Amino acid sequence: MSSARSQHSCKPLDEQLKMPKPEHNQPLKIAIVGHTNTGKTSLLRTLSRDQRFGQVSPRPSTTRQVESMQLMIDSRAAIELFDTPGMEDSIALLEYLEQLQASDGRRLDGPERIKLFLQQAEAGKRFEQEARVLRQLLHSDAGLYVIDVRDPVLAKYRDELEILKLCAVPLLPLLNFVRADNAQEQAWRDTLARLGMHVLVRFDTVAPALDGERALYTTLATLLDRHRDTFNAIIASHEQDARQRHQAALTLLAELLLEVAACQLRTAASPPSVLQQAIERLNQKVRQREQHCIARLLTLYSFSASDIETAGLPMIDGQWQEDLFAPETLTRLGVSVGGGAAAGAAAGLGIDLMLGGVTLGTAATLGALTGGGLQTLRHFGQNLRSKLTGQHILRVDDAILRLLASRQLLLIKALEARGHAATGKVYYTQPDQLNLSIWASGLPAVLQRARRKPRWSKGDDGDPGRHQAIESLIRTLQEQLN
Amino acid sequence: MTLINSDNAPPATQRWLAETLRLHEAQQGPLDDSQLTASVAMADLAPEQCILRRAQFLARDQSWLNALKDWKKHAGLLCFLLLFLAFVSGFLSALAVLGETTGPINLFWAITALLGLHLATLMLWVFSSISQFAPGGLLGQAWLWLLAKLPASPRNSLSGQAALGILNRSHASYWGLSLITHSLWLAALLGVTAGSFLALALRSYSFNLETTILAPETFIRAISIAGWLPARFNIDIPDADTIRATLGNPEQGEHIRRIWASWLLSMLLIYGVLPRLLLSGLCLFLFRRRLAGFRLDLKLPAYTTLLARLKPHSQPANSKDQPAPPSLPASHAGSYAGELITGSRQLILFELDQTAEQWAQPNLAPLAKVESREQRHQVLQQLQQAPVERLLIVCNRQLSPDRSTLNWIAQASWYARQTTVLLLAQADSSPDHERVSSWQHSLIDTGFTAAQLYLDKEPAVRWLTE
Repeated sequence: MSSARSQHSCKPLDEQLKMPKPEHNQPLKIAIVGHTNTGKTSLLRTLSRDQRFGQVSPRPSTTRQVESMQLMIDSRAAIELFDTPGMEDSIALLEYLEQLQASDGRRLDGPERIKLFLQQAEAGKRFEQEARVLRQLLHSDAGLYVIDVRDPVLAKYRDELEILKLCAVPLLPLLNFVRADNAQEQAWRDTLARLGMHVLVRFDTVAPALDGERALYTTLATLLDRHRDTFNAIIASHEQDARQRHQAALTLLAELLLEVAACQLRTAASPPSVLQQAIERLNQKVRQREQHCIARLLTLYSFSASDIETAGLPMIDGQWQEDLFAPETLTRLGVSVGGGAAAGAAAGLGIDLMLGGVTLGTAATLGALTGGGLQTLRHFGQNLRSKLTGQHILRVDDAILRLLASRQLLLIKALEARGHAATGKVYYTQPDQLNLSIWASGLPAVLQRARRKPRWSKGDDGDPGRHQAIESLIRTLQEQLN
Repeated sequence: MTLINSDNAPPATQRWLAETLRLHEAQQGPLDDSQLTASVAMADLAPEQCILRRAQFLARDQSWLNALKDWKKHAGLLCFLLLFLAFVSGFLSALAVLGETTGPINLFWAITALLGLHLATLMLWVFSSISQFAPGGLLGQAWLWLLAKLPASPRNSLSGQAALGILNRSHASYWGLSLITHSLWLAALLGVTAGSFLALALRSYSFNLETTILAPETFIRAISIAGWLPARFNIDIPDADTIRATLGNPEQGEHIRRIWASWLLSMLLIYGVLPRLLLSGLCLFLFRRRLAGFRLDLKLPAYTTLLARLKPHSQPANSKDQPAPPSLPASHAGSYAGELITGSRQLILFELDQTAEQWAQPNLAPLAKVESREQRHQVLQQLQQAPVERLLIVCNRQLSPDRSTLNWIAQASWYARQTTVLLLAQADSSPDHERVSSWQHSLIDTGFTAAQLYLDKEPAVRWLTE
């Protein structure tokens, strides 16, 4: 994904990021206009990656005032996007505009007509909302006309476009909700063509395509040729940001996996209750570590905890408990839980250990583990010290590591494809979406190495080996994503 | 040790501080920098500078800088201690080799004893550099190990971890550890030279070259080859006659003994001290250069997240728009109180793309489709001229209710005794509870009652036809 993106940028990045010299110190102004409830505010949220901008609701006329957001390049405002109220009374307004006469009787062109309208008393009364839109559009370098393509093409939309065209500002129709089942894209394209608008852009505000933003700005650049450099700079800057976020996300995941793989817990093997407690402690540690990773991923992608599906899951310490250790999920991962359970009647402890997601590396419980599956015994006899001291080392099972990797990769994918206007939840624990075949033939060597490095579980301590392991794991994870 | 001030700390220290704080925040959660983000504009700073500025701000009470300073002091002290130990052991080993010997000194034997280990470890360093085993030499690794064993406060050990991280990321650690290895050897060899000088200065030795199987020419060639380098420094080397005179004959004159003593010292300096000095210098140079090239890795999640906050790539602009009025002028629903034809009915499809056939039922009232400006005017006019008893307006509930729609529906209701609105779902509609409820709210705001609103075609048509 990131390699595909970097292919676009053939110029050196520094050069691309260099801001064109602005003739005036004002950012490029783009008004987002359209009928009420077509997703103007959503578009702005998605483009600015800011969930908190304005108000979004399925109710029409949520936005009543012009509000704006500046897109920065290198801390300088390059583009200012204006969110405008919806056009609601276009049929009456167009009629009103057509009736307007100049006081000296001369013919009015579009912008003059709009300006004359803005001086009328009606612009503050019945057409107050529309006047705000037109005033803003007149003062903008371009307009983005947002269309909900699920709506049929109606007379009022055509009138709206007629009115907006009077402002003589480049207007780019933006087709929103193009992925909906009942999208009427062709009808809209035909209508726009009849109005002389042949350039348009498809952009789903809730689930934008990965290159959607690039397409949007590139198309805008064709309309505003003088500002092409600004758009290129924005594209380059945002793609660089996206690459950095992607890299950072994989780093977070690599750290999670490495630390969980390196994690060890020493415990006495008997009585079983002590062992059970230790297992629960380890499980809890892993859960908390995963939560920590999720929280940081959400912050990284500027989302909040409310974006994640948590309903129906029990809360622990104010955090939602996932089905990380649920038997069904483990079974789907191909862990020999079932086989182990069927094979040995005395395998109660072994099965508990399996479900606990930990492996027990000792000889003492061997009897109890007969039939518990090879997984359970994988670390048998590995640690001489544990043999001598009678202590046992609990480690997190391969299956849990695979599940963690699969879940977090799914989450990263979902967050990268998610627009900041989306109000639905991200699901990242659905077994049918998870790539459960991940590392089915064995964990990557770097994670196996981590098993022997308990100090890696403590976080970054400047150890060069850990640093290299993270780098190598990032590459492995990137391959999994491709 | 100069006092480090956060405001004018060298860039390397600032980066070290930032890395230390990164590790601290990874363990303890983020530190509060709200005062900084509120007061200092990060606008004109490069991304890395933003992070450094923040680190300086967080470390403004000097305690973090003191932790760095302490670590540096510990590392320096440990280094000094080891250097001292190396010098002393070199000195003592020279005394042990020359020392209290009563007989003549076997020259080659002494040279091997004094320089052998040094040359062997030098080889080992070269080998380990190639093979990546214990990179930087064993002595450097030992220093690192000892450093980790020193008791330290949490902040101190974090500074150490950060320093090691920086050294590793900048690939300076190899040169740093090599520098320590070579410096220790340099100190040891200086000790050897000093010890040898002391012994030669204060005691009288005679020298010997011994062999059982070698020919004298072998010694002559070996010494002349070894003397090539000292000759570059204008150091006299024993000539063939001197070598022959010494070979197997420890009874030499004053002159020859002096030649051999200076030869011994020059061998120590040229083949012991000099290479270690040069290598130390080279390692120091490369270490410094690598370290100076270190920049914070902005791809690290901690920094990426931080930068997104310190240098947001979008920010709300101050809206200069006037506040919106609480409501806009709108028409209210009403009903016709005048005279009209009893039993008159009217069905209106508003912005609904359905054909008359879909509504062709017996007893159904005349149908009108309303969408464009002309249709709106025409149908309103028609109603105005002939008001009806019952009016059913059918709307597409997948569309958003807007002001113009609501106004028109309200105006149409003025010319009917009873008006109802059917919010019709298209056949392929997806769940639309929110749209339906916004239609209901808007229509009720316009003056309709909930009883006047239908969601299903059947009852609405029944109402119109009964």
